[in-house]
Amino acid sequence: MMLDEQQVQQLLRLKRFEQPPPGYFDQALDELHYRMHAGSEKHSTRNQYSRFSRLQEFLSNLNSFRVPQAAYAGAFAIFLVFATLMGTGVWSPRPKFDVYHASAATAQNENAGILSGKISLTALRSNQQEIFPTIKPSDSVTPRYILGGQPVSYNTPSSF
Amino acid sequence: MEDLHLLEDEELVSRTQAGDTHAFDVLWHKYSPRIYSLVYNMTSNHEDANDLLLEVFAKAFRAINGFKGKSSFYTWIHAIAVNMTINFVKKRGRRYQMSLDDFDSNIHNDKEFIELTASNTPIREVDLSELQQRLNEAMMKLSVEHRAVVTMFDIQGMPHAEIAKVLGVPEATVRSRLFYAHRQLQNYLEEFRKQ
Repeated sequence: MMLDEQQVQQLLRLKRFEQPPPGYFDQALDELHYRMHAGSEKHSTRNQYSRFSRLQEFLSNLNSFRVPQAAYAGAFAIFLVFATLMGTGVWSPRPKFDVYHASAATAQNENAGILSGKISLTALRSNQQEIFPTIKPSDSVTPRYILGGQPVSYNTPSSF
Repeated sequence: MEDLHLLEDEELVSRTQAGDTHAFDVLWHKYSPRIYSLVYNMTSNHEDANDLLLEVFAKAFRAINGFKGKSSFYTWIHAIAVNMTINFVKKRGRRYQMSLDDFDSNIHNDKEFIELTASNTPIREVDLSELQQRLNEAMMKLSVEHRAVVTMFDIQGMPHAEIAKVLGVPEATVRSRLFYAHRQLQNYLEEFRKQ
């Protein structure tokens, strides 16, 4: 047979005797005064704190950001497409250097390229490809010629 | 000098509303032990009860200008305490540790305690710390809403009508919650029966 309701209530009433230590309520009143006084200040501090905690949360989210696996696969696929297009010659980021036309253009500019016994490289242009000197021509330094992004020679081309 | 302790709650409240913080101190002295008991018996943790008690009174102080006197201050502050404690316990979930206050030594002189531990009762002899532990464990098995009703009725001795006002529920709801809680506690406290 179980305890009856009255006995349970009697047991529960014993909990009235669970008491905080003596002097507790006087000490707690001091703490209450502090909280009441700090109430308005705490309100503004809490606002600042909440802004700061939101920023902290944002940074921590940023820190824990993980690139999805699919992004790696996507980037690799894009790379493969470009590599294939460029490798097969279907597409090139730069127009191809046409040696025939470049030579013809060089011949046309032959006179313009030699001024007062010096070679003016800036005057040498093909229709499709510019010839870029990496070092400005001078009397003392041998110019280096680059055609289509490839170094060609450190010497003045004999055809000039 | 006027003794504020002699004033009625209504007068203390209106003085607090007018900015007299000493009047609020008197309300603290009058009600803090009851509010502490309510919160402590709902949490079974002294530190939580301490923090909640202070929060309840700080909140009451901030909100006192909105108190229109439609209920008594006693009911109003109990309602704040119950709501804050229910929210706290629900947030805390199952992560809690008991931190129990000691039994007052006056328990040995208590008539009911003497009756309960007398040899002709159906309750077996237990030491106080075991009794306290088991009682609190049984209370913590109840839902927080049932615990609130048991605390106010069985431990604090509040009438059903007053509990209904505090909780904002019909009196019949209070009675049915009490009935259900007592049935559960009868099972949980079965071990105290003499074999």
